[in-house]
Amino acid sequence: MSKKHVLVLLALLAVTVLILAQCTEKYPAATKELNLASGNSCVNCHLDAEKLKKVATPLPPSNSDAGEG
Amino acid sequence: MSPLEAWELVLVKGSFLNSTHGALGCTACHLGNPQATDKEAAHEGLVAMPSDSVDHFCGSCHADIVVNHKNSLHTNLKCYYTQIEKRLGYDISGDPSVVRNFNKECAKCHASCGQCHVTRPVSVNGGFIDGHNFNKEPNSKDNCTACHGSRVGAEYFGENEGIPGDVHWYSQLMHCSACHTADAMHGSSATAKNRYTDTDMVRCEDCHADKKTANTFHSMHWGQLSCQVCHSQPYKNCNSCHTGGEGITGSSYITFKIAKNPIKSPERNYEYVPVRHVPIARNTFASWGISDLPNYNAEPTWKYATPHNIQRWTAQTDTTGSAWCGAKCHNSDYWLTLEDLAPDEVEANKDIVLTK
Repeated sequence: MSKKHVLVLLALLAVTVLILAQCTEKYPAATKELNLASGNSCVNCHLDAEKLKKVATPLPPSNSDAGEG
Repeated sequence: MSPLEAWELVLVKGSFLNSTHGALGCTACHLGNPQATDKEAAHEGLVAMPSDSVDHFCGSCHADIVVNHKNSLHTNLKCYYTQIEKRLGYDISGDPSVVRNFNKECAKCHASCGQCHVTRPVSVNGGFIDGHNFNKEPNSKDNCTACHGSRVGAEYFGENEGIPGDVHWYSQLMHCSACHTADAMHGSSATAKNRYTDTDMVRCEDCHADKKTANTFHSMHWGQLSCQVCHSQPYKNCNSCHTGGEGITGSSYITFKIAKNPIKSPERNYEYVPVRHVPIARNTFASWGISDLPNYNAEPTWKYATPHNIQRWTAQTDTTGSAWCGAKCHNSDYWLTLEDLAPDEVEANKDIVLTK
């Protein structure tokens, strides 16, 4: 194999590595199974209206005239 | 827009968990402690609105969309900033007191990605629109007119007593995003200082250019009058507004006034346009320690307007019974004249009033 061929192969390898690195998931895979199984997870409260009603902080009065034309 | 109880604001739908964003897991965007057993501990370190850090959270996947967000008037509020600077007469970035007050009061209307695509705006207490599901197109009532409701929303949906809504709504059910495109909303115009200098801001002519010679009125006035001069109806005006939590003082009123175009530009080169009195007074910023705006006259208090209550037939276009075709408009009460101005705003509007 000539030196030229080796260089071309190395270049192709580098490009492939770069492309694969860009395609890697930025976030881990879904964790909803973990959340749903856990008794104290975010979703167990935020999916349950009755639980939320018990712990919700009352809203301040809103200004009904607020707004931009 | 119906009010929501506190618990409804944060109630997540099960369907969200199966969505692309839901699959990321709550803590990927909101942090907090999912192992905690009580509310306070679970919310420790919580990021309630991840899109306030748009580059970090939204931008990590949607870089192509958020790249221009700093240009968006919804993000930078340059429209308010510019007007305040004009009426103060100096660059406010060097005035910590004004910047602090601006951020405390005016900046509440800042809209992040989430406030258009996930929740109602924070200025109306927020709250999921669809159980945390992401909406590609903002909801006209829950998002757009939650902020732009007192004037534009009321006009468009026909909520001003006795004045029908906009034909684009009640005839075509066109939502805001039908005209106000994602590119424009996401800040494609780097030079925009207000909505009318946004190079991507929609104009009627973008869709209706073929009507240029559709009738005698169009042939005579196309380009000279903005479309709204003939095709919009009376709209809401406000005269004074106070900072410091007092909000708008005095009653709003419905009227329709035509004046010389205060912001002529190549894109909006009309001679005459409808104008709306904006909520400004000399003492608007009294609570900021500015009892009398030093450059109050730098801008007209009657502002270029595009009322959103378009009709083909309006009081201006229906000439039934008129002596001649222009009788409803020429030398009419629609004209903004000196008599319409309060004594202390004559100077600010002298260049746009009409003389009968």
